[in-house]
Amino acid sequence: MCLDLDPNIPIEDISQHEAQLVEIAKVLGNNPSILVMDEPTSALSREEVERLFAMIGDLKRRGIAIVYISHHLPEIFRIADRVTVMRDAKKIATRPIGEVTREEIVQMMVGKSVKEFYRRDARSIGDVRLRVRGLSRFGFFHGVDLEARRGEILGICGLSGAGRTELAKVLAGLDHADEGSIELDGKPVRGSTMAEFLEQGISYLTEDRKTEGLATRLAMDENVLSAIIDRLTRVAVYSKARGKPAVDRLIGELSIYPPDPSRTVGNLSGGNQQKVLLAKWLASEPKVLILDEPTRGVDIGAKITIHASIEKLAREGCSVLLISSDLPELVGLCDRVMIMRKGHFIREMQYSECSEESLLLAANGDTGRAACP
Amino acid sequence: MSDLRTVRTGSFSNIMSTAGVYGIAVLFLALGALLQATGAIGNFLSPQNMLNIVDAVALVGIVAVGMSFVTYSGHFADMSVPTTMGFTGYICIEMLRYGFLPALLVALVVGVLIGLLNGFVIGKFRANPIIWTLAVNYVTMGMIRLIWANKQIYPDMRGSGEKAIALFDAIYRLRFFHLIGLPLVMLVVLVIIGQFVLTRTSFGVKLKLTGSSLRAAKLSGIAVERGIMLSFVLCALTATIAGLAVTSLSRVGAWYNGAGYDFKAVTAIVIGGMTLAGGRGTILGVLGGSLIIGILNNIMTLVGIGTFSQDMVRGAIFIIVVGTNALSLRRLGRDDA
Repeated sequence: MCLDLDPNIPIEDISQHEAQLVEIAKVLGNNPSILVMDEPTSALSREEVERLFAMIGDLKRRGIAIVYISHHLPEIFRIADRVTVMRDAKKIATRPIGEVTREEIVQMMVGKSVKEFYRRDARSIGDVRLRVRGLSRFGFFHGVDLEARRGEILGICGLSGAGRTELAKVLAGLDHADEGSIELDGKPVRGSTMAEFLEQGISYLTEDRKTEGLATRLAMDENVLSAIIDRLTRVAVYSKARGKPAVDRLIGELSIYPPDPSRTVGNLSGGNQQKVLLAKWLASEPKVLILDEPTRGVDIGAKITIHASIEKLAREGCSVLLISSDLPELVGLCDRVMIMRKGHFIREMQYSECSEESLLLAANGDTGRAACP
Repeated sequence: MSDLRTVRTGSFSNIMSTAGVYGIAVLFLALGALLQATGAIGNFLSPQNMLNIVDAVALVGIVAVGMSFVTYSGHFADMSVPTTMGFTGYICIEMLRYGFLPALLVALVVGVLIGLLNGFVIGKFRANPIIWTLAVNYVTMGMIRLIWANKQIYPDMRGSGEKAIALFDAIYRLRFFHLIGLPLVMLVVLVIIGQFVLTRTSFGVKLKLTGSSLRAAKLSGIAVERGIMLSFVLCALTATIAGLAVTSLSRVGAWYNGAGYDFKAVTAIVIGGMTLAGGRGTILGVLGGSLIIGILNNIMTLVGIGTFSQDMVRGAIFIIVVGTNALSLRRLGRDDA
């Protein structure tokens, strides 16, 4: 797997994507004749995906049959020979890959025709809400300058290890910056804890919903209200009933299934769990919302709903920071994309400049400047 | 795995499990009545015996109510309760010569300090709760031996005023309407306040989140360390109250005054439906658990089971109840092993 790691390191000390590679190596060690892979690339960077595909090609040549479960259409078109589409627990169709188009697959998956994968409704972009100057956290990122405007969706793109999540954690108040300043609506952000940042209007949706985002043993409504407990409290007395209208509204807005607020979150599907997590942060009515991989491991129907919700949030005046490894998502949603590499912002790209190829090149170091003659 | 398989959480299932606990308590009462009817034991249903049960339940219950907050926060139990009880009893008797109220206050302050220490080390440095509180238990034991040179002390030994001694005696012996002792009143008050705080205050709700998933709670902007500290303070506070009651009962400051109460409290808490994993359960359930333990102890004594055999029975119950709870914890990946 070309992993440059000490074999004695405990799993919990390595990053999520490295852990996934270990998982894959473990399975391959059994010399299977049929291999079932369930969303194996959701936490991998492009280079790691390439390595995996090379391995898959190798396995195919050795005669191993592979069932590859994914909702990443580009991947499917690259490595699959036949594709089976399932929806609502039923098989819709099986086709040889050469006889079906991307749009047809999406249509079968979603059950309705999707003219454009991302609709772009007009959004007016206002003045600067979040101004970051010279922000550094030694060892993670340096000299970050950033401006996020009202109504804007600002993407942050980079390879794994570029420092995106570390930056997000500092902007959310979870970690301290060593240098630099953060200003919200013209005023410096006070305090040093996440609670204080949250109170001033900065919310952060974590990339790991199962252990950091949701309390999976608790009910949906308890999770949705978990970030706004103080707002529902009067004189130390907490009233869940006061939060019920918001919970019902968000369940409806995000089409969370089943629409039962007392349902234990651990029993929901991945897509619905992610919607509950998003609902929690929408309930905090943030001025700035930082999203870290908001559609990782999420089925396409939920993805569309979440994207629509993000756009609606931006339209209502929130500044959205979108950290994502999903290039089509960045291309489709963002007004601008900041490219992060090895702890620095190396480039800013406007919507018109963004395509999957250009983003990927930029993340790998292409600064868009012509080579010196 | 029952936690993961539960589809619905919320007040309904809590009511049902609490009702179940009281159902079991009633069953034990029926067992006692049956044994009395068949002549195996005498006087189970007599008013005096009922009072005995109530008095015993009150002491365990007071400790259990406070410890519930520690369990609810996902930190299992506080094993420093026995020596906290003994130590604060000693201190109160020692300070009685300065008056009853000052003595009471100093004892309560010492209790709070122990709770703060536990809460700080466990909350901030994430020490293992059982290991740390066990260590505190032993250190406190050492302090008792050191300060009072292995001797027990009596209220009238230190030149304390007659009034102070009388008030101290009254902690355990005061009876309202010749029936209801102060510990019972304290228990009822603590249960009512505790149930309210756990279910209806922002502190209780945040504690539920902390107990269900500490990382998720932290990343929701909740000050988890503060909540953990407060739960250990509450636990030490109720231990102090119970310690004063036990010391008043025995009229002597002794290191063994609180012996066994950590055990009894944890059993009561877990029988009462509060899982060791945290974030689940009610104070009313814990009260029911205390009732069951009190009734069971009483029946065993009436039947004539010797102390050591009773210990075996209590130990067996502890292993079964707490052990199966820990097993489901392991399946959830939270056994701290």
